[in-house]
Amino acid sequence: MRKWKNRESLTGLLFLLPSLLGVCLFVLIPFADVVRRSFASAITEEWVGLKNYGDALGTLAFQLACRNTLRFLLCCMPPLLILSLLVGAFLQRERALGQQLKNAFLFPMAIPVASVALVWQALFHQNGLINGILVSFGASPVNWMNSPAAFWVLVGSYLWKNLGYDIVLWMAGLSGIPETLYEAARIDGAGEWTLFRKITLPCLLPTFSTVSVLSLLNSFKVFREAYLVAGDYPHESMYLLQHLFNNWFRDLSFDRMAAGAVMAALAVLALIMPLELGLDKED
Amino acid sequence: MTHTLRNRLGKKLLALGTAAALLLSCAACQSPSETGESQEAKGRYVETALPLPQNTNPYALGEMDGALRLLCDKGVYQSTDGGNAWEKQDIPALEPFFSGGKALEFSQGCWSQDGSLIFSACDTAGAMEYHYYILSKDGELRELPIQLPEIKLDDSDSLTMDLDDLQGEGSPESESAGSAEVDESSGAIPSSFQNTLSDCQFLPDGSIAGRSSEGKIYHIDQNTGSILHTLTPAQEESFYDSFAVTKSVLAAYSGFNSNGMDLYDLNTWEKKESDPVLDSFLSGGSSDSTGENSAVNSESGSESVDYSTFFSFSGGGSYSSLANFTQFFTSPGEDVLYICKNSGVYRHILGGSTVEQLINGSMSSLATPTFHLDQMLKTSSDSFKALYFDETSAGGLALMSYDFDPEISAVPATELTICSLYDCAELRQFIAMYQKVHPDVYINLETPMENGGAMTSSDALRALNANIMAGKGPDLLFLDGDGAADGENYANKGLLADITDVVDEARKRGDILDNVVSSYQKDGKDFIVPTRFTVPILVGKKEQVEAVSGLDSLAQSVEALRKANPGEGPITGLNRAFSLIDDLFPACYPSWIQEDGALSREKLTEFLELCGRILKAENQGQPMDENGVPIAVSYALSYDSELLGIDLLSSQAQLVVQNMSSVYGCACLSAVLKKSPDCSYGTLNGQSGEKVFRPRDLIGINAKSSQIDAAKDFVRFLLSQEGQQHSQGMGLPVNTQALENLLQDYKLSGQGVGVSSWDGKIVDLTLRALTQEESGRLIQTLSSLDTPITIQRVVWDAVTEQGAACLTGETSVEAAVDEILRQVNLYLSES
Amino acid sequence: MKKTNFSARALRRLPVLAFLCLLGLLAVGPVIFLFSGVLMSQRELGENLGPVLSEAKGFASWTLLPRSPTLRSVVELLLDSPEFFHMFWNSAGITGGILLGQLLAGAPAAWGFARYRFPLRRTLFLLYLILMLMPFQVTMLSGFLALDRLGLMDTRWAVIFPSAFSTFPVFLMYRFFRAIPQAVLESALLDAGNSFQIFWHIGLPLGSAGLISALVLGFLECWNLIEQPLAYLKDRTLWPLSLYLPNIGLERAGPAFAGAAVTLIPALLVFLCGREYLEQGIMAAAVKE
Repeated sequence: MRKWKNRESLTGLLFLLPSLLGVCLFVLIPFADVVRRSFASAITEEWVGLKNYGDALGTLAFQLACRNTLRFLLCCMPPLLILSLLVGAFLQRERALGQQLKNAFLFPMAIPVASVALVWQALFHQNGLINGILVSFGASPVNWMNSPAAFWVLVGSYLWKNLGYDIVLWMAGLSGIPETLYEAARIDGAGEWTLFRKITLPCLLPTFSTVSVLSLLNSFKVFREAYLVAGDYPHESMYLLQHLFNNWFRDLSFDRMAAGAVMAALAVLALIMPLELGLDKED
Repeated sequence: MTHTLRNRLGKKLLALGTAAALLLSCAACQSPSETGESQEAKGRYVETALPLPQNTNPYALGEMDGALRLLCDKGVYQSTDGGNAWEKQDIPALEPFFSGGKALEFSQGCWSQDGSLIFSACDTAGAMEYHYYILSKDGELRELPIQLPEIKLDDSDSLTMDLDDLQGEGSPESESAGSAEVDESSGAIPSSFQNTLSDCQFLPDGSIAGRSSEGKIYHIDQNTGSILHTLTPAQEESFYDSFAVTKSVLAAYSGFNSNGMDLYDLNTWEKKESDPVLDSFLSGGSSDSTGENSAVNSESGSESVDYSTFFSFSGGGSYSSLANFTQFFTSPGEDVLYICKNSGVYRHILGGSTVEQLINGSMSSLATPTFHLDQMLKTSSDSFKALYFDETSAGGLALMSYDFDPEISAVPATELTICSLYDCAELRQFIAMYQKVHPDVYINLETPMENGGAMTSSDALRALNANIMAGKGPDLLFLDGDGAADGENYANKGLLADITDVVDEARKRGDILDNVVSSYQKDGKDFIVPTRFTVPILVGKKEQVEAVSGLDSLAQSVEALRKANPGEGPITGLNRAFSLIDDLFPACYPSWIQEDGALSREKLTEFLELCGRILKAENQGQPMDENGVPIAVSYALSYDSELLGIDLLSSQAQLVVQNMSSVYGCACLSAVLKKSPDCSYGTLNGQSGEKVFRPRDLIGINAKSSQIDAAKDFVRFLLSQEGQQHSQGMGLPVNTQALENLLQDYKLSGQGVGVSSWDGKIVDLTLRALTQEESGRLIQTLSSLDTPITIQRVVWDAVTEQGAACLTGETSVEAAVDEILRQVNLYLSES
Repeated sequence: MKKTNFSARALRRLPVLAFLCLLGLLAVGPVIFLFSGVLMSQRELGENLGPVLSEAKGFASWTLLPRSPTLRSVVELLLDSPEFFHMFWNSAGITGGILLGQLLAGAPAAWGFARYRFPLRRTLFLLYLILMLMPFQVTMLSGFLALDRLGLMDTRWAVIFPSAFSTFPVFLMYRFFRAIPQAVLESALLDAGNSFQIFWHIGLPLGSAGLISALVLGFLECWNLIEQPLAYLKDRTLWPLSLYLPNIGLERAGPAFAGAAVTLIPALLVFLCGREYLEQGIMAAAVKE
């Protein structure tokens, strides 16, 4: 029995091996190098202990970028998760039109980043299309890219791009809930809302963790659009960690960049751990 | 259904797997083969300068029986030792041309292999007509009566084309020729031009081929002057730019539409099949694609610069000289075409499968921005001789010889790489000059931002940083000083080598503007030094210039001038919000910086308010369009204009604010001041009266370079008089000796410039060099400057954008200041 | 009775449905915007977007149907810009290489994670997850140095390898392989296949939807690579199409729109062809066994 188990682990590792080697070479080792750099000076690479961490934490830009990134996650993830769940639950029951709508929501995924940036420019420019519409309705124009509105443009863009993705995720989870559960509850006289609360939500818990991880992953990709449209120094409200890392790189502050990156990785780890533990509980 | 799908998928995966294995093995094979070449190849062409006959202006270089022959404005010269010594030939028939007895000016000429000469000359006294002459080898001269069809101007397209063409060849327009229908609406431009041959060559059979100003090639009988054949490009609206004659083929090049080479058989005069190898080379497919790409880029440029006010804008040659050229020459008796480009001289056997590089352009004058190739010749001893127009030399022309040295290594022993974000004529000139003195060093210029594409300057910097960190960075860094790359930052982070010793040498010599080169000094050490600088200056009536000590007094002066001239033309010419801010803010910037590095809110507010006052006074009573924008042309370009102070003469401004950025500009200013004796110039001081200047063209050495000593030698050269003695319009030399020499005998002295004034009058001006006194005074002023302006791109963008918005009334001063401080502080807080 | 009930329900749903339709329209709006822009002449684009492009007063406007539809911009782009084609094929090459790598390395790894137990499995998986979530900027310098040491810098492989070993497809395919019932595998094991044969004959076919959805998502990602080629490819002739587009901003609106549309088309085709698998794939990622 034990021998079989050893063999099993060996086979498993063999399957993993090519990927693991590549990941080590191209992803893990560079990442380890980043960790090393976070304790060393930028150019001479002398050991400096935790100095870089102190420096990074002390820079106002880092604090701002952290705040913004956190704020962005808080402002875009819950609405996305909730909205997509609601739409998904609704579309689950609409057969024909539901399919069409689902397709429509998935569409934005396919649009290349550069094209999105082009559309953004036309829409959100000071004299752009949206302001044109606002003015024609008698409202005053908004300086989208140079005011706190920029942050909401970013959130909107994220929602637009990922809504379809998350809807499909939720719908998958929904379709996995056995209809018998609902029927039994209906016999007990439960209303639609109670059904949703008592059956749907608990059954979707594992789906929730997957959706969150993938939404988190996608939230880091918004940077590309932001960078293409607003460059190195966008409005303060949409200045994300990636902007700062980018600029630190340009200004040769590799030390701080590494420290900042390690801290960001730790934060992601802290965020992922509970989700991942939740995911694996059922194994 | 599902089953078949699975099977198919399986097969596909198998195929994919095999393909991947192949690809991976290819990748594995690829890397080691590159390192295999350690064998050093020997032999290359080396450039040497040859003397030209004293005080002459050469027109045509030829070879006869192993002797070089040169047709000059003062006579025909011959050299039997390969161009080292020249001897005047006695040719009585030509004497009237040389002595000025005939009012004829040479325009071009060409020697045949047997020593006959064909040349054209313009009758400057009479009708400005061209005459063609043939000098036989026995010294007999006869005129060849060539009657070309007239160029008709019925189409506006062809008009501009022909005008360009004629001006390019330096031939004046003929007013007498043709039916004198004058089109009233477009001014006094005649409806037809005399068609002239701008380029004549002998064919192997003794007849003549010539390219006409309308871009056709005529085959002409050498005895009667009658036209035997006319060659026209197939494509409409296209024209031949140049041609060359080999043993059996006439190759005509039409670069404008880039349809490559048309080959004509010299016996049948039929067009032959084209040469695909040649065409692909010429269209830039194979070797250098830079020219093609830059053409694409310039199309996308969004600046709308109005050059129409300058109808002679040939000064400096700072930007145009980066343009690529293509020229051809042949050698008698072979079907071989030699192609000259910036990148070198190439040889192609017609019908052959390769184009071979003979001379590397970057190791010769071909790549030098101030050198313009006039003619190249292959001698019977397999040496190449080239006649250049040299902007920097007093005589204007230079003769170079290229001889094959079998002993020298094919690639110079030392290769230095220099990285500059943008291509720059100034830098190319530095490099070319250095390589001429150091043939053992090859300098490789990298310009990552040229044809920038998707790359922003910070993308380029990140790539550069990564390369430097990987130990693969350039040996030298060249920063334009416009803030795209922060020189101070590179120095502070320890990425640059200490070059204090090199700079100290120059300081000890005493011929360097210490105040300028020390702009970036840190703790007494130099890591990066400017090699050029610009100074904002003020030109106007003496008392007004003297009254301005800072921005505050400038605003008062402008207001006073407006009060004195209500409803009249421009005061400073800075009539648009953006250009006003863009021009005035650099000088003021140093006074905004507080001790803690942050910007002073107070100073910034004051700046915007003063600019508002200036703009208001400037535009008071001026004609505006329906959007409230002044109709008069915006002078966004004026700050760096080469025509320093000329706005004063053309009434475009009464108080000119400009950058002194080239010797050409100084010569222009000197001429302006000569013409208006009550005017003078002074430096435009900073907001609190600082004596400001902008360091440009910074050079530093990568501390990780393995050739720091070689790199230091380059820096040493850049700071020397020899290296500094040229001016491309990006700034003044930091070497006082070089600056003084340039100022005092600036060779463009005497060149005419014309501009139209705001009310439509035309002002002519003849440039003049400075006197010793004047240049002394200028240099003294320059050496008293004490505040370098170094502006980061982020600050620049924030100030100009927000400042302009505030001046046009889109935002309040307070909101603009808030926004600027917010953006700048974000930037400052990163470090 | 039942019928009225149904229509009452439908009536109640109508506002929600209308709202969703509006939302859907918003989602596809930009695509429609792009394609209508392609058909406009440079002049019409200039008029419409003038206020954005230059200092013209007023606001940009747009009409869904061009006044005089023309394909001039597309023709201009396809005929007069050789570099566009060049970059297109670069993109195709890079994308193909990456997807191949993801398939070859990712699928077995996902299979290993999903079906076998070995020491450190969970730790490794968590590590994969973390690495998946790291933004590119974090490892840019170190990645550069690593690629440089391997001698891959400034070659296509510098872009292909790191992305080919991206851990995202592993994560995605992992879900699929987990969803295969244990019973199916055990019966296969009884048919006396070795581990690889099981993976090949059972795992891959049953997880094909996962593979394809990973490929589709991978394609969309690779087609959009911007930072990696910018950082790792000095030689412009190797640049992919994704770097052509930002290159032509709105100043050259015609080619910009045409370029955006042409870039969009392959992505759209792949997306539409793979949509069903993609949906299945995304679903499988969410469903627990």
